[in-house]
Amino acid sequence: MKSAFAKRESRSGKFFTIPAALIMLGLVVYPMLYGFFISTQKSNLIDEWEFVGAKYYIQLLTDADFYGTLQTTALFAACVVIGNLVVGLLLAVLVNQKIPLMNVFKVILMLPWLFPEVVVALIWKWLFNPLFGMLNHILFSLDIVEKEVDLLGQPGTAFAAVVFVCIWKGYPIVMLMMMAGMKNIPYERYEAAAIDGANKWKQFRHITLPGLMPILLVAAILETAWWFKHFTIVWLLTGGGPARATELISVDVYLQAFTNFNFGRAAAESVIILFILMVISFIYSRVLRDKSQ
Amino acid sequence: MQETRKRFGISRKAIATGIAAALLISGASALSATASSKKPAKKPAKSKSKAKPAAAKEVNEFLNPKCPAKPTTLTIASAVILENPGGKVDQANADEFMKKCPNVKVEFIGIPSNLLPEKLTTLAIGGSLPDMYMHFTSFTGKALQMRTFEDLKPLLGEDYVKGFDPLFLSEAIQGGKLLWAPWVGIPMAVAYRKDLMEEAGIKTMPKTFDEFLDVAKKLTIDKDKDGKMDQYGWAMVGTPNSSGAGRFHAMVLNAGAFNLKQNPDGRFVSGASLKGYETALQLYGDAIKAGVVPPGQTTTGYPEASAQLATGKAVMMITGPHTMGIAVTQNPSLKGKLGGFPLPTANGAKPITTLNQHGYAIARSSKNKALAAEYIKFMLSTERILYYNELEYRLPSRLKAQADPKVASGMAAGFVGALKGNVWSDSTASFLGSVAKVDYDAYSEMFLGKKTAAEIAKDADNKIKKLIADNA
Repeated sequence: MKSAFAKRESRSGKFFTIPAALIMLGLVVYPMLYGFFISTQKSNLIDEWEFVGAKYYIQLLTDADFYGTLQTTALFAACVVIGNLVVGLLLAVLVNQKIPLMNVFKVILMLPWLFPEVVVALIWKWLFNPLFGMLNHILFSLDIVEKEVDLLGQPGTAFAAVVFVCIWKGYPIVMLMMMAGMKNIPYERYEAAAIDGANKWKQFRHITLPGLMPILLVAAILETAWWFKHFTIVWLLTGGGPARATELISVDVYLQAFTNFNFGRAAAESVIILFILMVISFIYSRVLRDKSQ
Repeated sequence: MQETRKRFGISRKAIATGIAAALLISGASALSATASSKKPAKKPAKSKSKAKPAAAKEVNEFLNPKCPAKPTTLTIASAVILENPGGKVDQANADEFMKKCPNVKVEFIGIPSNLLPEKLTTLAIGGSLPDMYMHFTSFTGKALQMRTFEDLKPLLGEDYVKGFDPLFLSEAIQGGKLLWAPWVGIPMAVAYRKDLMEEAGIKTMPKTFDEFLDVAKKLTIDKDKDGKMDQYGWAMVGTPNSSGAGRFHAMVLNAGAFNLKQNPDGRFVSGASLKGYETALQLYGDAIKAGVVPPGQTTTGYPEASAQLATGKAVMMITGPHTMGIAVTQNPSLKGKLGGFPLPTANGAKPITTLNQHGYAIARSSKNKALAAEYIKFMLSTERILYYNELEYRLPSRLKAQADPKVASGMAAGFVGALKGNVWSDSTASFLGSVAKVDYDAYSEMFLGKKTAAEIAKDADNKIKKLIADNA
């Protein structure tokens, strides 16, 4: 049985959480509920509100183009997340070595993360430009190509190019998280492993990787959520083209809302994205938690 | 209301007079234009024309506005303010107005033209539309749906409204209300480099799609014989946006089809199943296959294509006369070396162009409607509107300004001449942006060369029909 003091303390605790709970309700729960409400309306968001029920959900779920866009988005997110985790992890291992001037390299490697996405997209757009871009200039100088290469003009290369740019922009944050995670792995484990004859690869596989699993889980969830709904770089590089090869779900939501002005359908797509991301997060947490245990 | 029609009446006569005058003074036009471009921004050139169309009377000049007694801030959302040299015009208008009315502070909100409908929609939803905003016809459907407009007829006065070219008014008046005050139009035609065309020995401008492609091939040259093309025939805007789609649709129209139109009974119909849609796609595909377009067409937007024209990397471009102003700004030596001719046609279609007008609307939510109307009349006065024409060759909306011989002469003649044919006005469907997306998806697909033009046109037709059904 709880003492009077414990009861009072419990009430106080609940009371102190009220401001935070209200802020969460206002900033997270309300917009989500409002988004769901809009998805059931045919509306101009000003003075026209007509309840249409699940019309937009049915439209989306029976639209082959929507499934195509979802597939492109899933592939894009998978490529970028895997790329970021691999590149971020490898670079974190590299910069974790005791080598002179490593701090300078760390700063340089962090630079892409500091650039705004708009700047990153425009820089790479010009680098890829077939007429004036640096890439083509180098390829011509080295006699590698005879004709200008239009990377963003063909579906396969355009997709690869946007994935590459997004990895370039996104790996530093993963690297930073991994570096922080490595600091928490006791050095004694590596010493013990070395005494037992484990080489660098075995140390990485049996000490570093398991030690980083909780960080990997968080990074994977955050990265997937981030890149699944990514918009800026892809929109500025290709606008979703050529021939819809890089048209992500976020691009489609934007087009529905601000080109077609169909806010209801755009909101319905957003709700579906939210649902998909919640499922992905759940699967991640189950799979990675099992592995780390 | 969407329709195709012939130009008629006073404005046509005025333009014809202007073209005739242009032939007489063509030798002197380049000199006078060069001289006038050196004038300071705040002192625009005055009209030298003595001709006055009957409808114009004295309703054009409002250079002494009625100023408010209290300090007032007039907010204006503009795309032109961000452009060069167009931005000088917006800024000079504001500066001069503020001189006349020291109590007034004019503040601009710069919005890139490609993003104007999106940004205005966001501002309207947020209840923060400025007093005035720049209106493109692509926003008409949405603005009607959102009821953001104030009817300008009572604010400007019936007599004043009669001073606009009827062609401009036919788009700006919807349901009996004047939704925006037309400022200028940029009739779509083919801009070309006269010097490079002459260099290639081409004297006759192409009139059909086939001739256009042939000319583009002749203009695609490896000048230094290093195996790399130094000059291309066609600066194609192939980006997946309204800029690329608008140009493609202009070619669709000139092949005898359309993407979407509204029948007199109010029903929307798709025109992508018509032969012309397929023909336009075929032209785009053939041009890429023939290598007459600089590489990277899917990322070549309007700024890049204009730069290709200005630098001589390409010779022809489907665009409005403003491109010449921008090209001359980038490369002043081009003054007098640019021209325009009507868009080529196919399938026996008659030449057709689009007006692509823009102007200023007054927001229904504005608290400074009377002042905004004064500002509009001030900026549309003959000398101020001609200053815009002088810098960017855009066609003024006011009949009196159109009567100035310079408007339809020199480098602008071909573009104004394009208006002699039919003129297409887009429908006011709120989903017009999505129809444009169908267009650019279609020509992007054509670039890849994996499907035939007929297959792509069929897909486009199905998509447009679905959009019509979804938005019914």
